Amino acid sequence: MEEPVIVLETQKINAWFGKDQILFDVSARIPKNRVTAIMGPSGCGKTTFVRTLNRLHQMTPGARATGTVLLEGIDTSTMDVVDVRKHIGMVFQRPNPFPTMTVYENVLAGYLLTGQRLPRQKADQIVETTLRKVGLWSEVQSKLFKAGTSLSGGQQQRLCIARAIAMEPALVLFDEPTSALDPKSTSVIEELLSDLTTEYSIIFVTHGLQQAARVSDYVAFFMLGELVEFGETKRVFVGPQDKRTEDYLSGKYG
Amino acid sequence: MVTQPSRSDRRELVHERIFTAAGVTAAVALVTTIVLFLLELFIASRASRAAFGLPFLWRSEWNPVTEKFGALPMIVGTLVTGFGALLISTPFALGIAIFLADYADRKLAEPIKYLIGLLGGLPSVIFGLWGLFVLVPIVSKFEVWFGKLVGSEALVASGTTGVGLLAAILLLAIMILPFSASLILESLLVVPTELKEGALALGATKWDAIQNVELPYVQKSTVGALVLSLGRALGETMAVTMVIGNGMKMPTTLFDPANTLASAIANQFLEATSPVYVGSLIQLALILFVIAIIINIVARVILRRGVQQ
Amino acid sequence: MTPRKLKNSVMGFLVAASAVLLIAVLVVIVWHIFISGVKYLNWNFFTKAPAPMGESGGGVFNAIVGTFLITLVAAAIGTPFGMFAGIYVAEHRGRRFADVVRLCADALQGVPSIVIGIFGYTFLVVRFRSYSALSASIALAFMFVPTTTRVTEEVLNLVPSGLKEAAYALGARQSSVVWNVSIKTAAAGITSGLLTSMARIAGETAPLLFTAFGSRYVEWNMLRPMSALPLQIFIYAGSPYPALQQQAWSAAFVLVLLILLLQYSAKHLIARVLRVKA
Ligand SMILES: Nc1ncnc2c1ncn2[C@@H]1O[C@H](COP(=O)(O)OP(=O)(O)OP(=O)(O)O)[C@@H](O)[C@H]1O
Ligand SMILES: [Mg+2]
Repeated sequence: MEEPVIVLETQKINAWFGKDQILFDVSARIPKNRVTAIMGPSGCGKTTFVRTLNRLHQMTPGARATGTVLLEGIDTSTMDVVDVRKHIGMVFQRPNPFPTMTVYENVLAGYLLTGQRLPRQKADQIVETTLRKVGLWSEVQSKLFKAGTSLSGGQQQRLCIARAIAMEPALVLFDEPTSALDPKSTSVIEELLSDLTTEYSIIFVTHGLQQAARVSDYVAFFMLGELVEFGETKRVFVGPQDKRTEDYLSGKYG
Repeated sequence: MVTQPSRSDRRELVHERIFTAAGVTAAVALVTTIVLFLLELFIASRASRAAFGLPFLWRSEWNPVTEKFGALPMIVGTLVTGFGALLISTPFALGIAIFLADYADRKLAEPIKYLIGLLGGLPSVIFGLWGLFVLVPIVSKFEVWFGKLVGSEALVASGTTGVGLLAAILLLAIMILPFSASLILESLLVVPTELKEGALALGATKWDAIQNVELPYVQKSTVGALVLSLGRALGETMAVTMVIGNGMKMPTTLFDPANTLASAIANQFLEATSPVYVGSLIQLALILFVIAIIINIVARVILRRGVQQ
Repeated sequence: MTPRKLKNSVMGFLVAASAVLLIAVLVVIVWHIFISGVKYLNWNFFTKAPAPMGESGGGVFNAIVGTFLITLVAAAIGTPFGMFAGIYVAEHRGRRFADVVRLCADALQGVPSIVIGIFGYTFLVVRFRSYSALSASIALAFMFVPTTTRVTEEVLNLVPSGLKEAAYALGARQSSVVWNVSIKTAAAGITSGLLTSMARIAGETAPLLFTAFGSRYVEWNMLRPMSALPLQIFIYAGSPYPALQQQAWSAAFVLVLLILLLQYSAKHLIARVLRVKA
């Protein structure tokens, strides 16, 4: 089997909240231009793992992490944290567009908040192409200057995706982006993912086995803070190599 | 991928530095303020300490003519008015808070809360004005009546002015009422309704539930609220100044004109000319400052504990 | 009726009675201010400085100007300190020094106003060798800062952490997150807090006694003694002339109106914030 190109590699990541160790020696290689699903029972450290990648984890008082994260081969600890985050976008569990910004501004939030001034034409162009990428352009074309929070929940979440990819990140982290949405909006976002992989690499945290099977090319299975299995989704779902994965897939854990 | 910092990056970095520096500066300035107050008041009052030393605290003579100063009458005046006001207003404050938390529905509670806020927001000098022209005449009538009742000629004769400790206590009681009521109400509102409903389900009357479930739950925060209110009362200046009568002697009855630490300063500071007199008044301010800081910190600690439980 | 039931009714009556009493007291006070205040209001009252000693008429225009100037300058001085200290405390929650700062702000809120006045005198007036409106503003700023600090912190804590995280995840620095996300989201709440603090210091008298000192003339220069409504009320209330006592009531009426206006705007803003949140 041919080796995929790797966009991000973690080596022996350990993470703590205060004295509680949450992640144990997590080493993973995330393929480029693919959707990698992160699965596992509730509380196993999925969120914590993705948050160590853009170092949001370390912002919680008392939280820390060790280990190496290589982004396209570069050790992110040698980079300014701000640059790491510009290259790793994130979409959160609940849609969280900035309530003080319009739809237009929300798409450009990454530029506005990092002090980058764009010429008007460039800005317009980024807004349009990005909103097209997330399939929102036709829906919000006439509402560009309304508050971002005036959109429906599903639209807000796609706006948040647009906000993340407008910065042209190498990798986008999705932390259960559909868990707060209705089934219709969920399937719209699921369909989006494969389009997005032509340009971006995606890590997609999900609770649902079905969802992981539907959207992902690769899957990482976490349990009690350990990465117990990693592989192509088809392979893992058909023939899990780890007993714990097998039990989980057959529904033995919540 | 790792790029040179661009112009906008550098601008952001400058913003970040300024921002951090401003935050730290403001925070440090706030803490320094307390030290600055202490130092400034301590230095400015040294003439008084040179003349009277520590006995200033318990000497009961305050005589601007002979320039002999002792703080005891003011300390007594402060404590009597402060505790007196607290004693009178606390039952009402509790009553109002309980009424709003447990008896009034939203339609009734909201306007009353608004009125409490209004009363609490009225400036001290306006309470003083009202006290001087409305309350003091009433107190004066009461004094005469009371003097006749107990057959004290002195009271009938001297008490007709109405200004004095009693007027100050009553006015202070009104002034701290909205403050303590809203603080107590705040703590009552966080009592979990399940607790009360549990008691009611067991057949307790409404008052049983309040007395046995709700009040014990907020005991600590109520004490904290009362200590805070006491701090307010002890430091309250203008209203007290206007109705307490600027008495220099140690008060012997509630009808006597007196002074609190605050009112003595407000009444006399502009007349004080000699360094010892000025220094003694500033010394009063220092005592008041220290009392206020201690009371406030104690109250906050009690309140925080109350919340944590 | 069992004793328990009886007690229940009696206590219910008592708590309701205390609420009624509070309202009664409030009504009496407000009624006096309104009746006595309105009675002597006239155009001169708002537009003229006090009449020379012994003459009748005149107004409190000097004090109205003074209250506006002194309050606004105090707020202008106090706002940056208070806001940045509030930001500091909110952004460093859980750190020891932030707790110390918060405690100091609480303690400073409890410093009696007369102490602030004496401090203003020894720290500013003595140094500048002159009573001045500016020293009054600075003294009031010492009252303004701690309240602003606490309000800013409280309002910032209401900003959903998800919004801040979203901003950080886009590569924003802390200063940018605080300014462009937290402060903007909390802007109405902070403004409301500032207005409430202004309402408070606008009615303060004691800090002005030995700093602004008072003036019979309409004064615009902050470096000179100046009057203010609370000061004027205090002086007139103690005056033996009924005409001046009447002016004290009218001035009280105007001052209460001003404070109500500030409080009302603050409430209005708060209501808007809550609506947005819902
Ligand atoms: N702020 C925090 N402080 C302390 N412990 C935390 C904190 N956040 C999470 N944890 C703990 O860390 C562990 C991992 O949490 P994490 O959110 O990474 O799990 P998860 O796999 O994302 O779960 P879920 O599927 O429910 O989202 C959990 O045991 C949780 O209790
Ligand atoms: Mg999670």
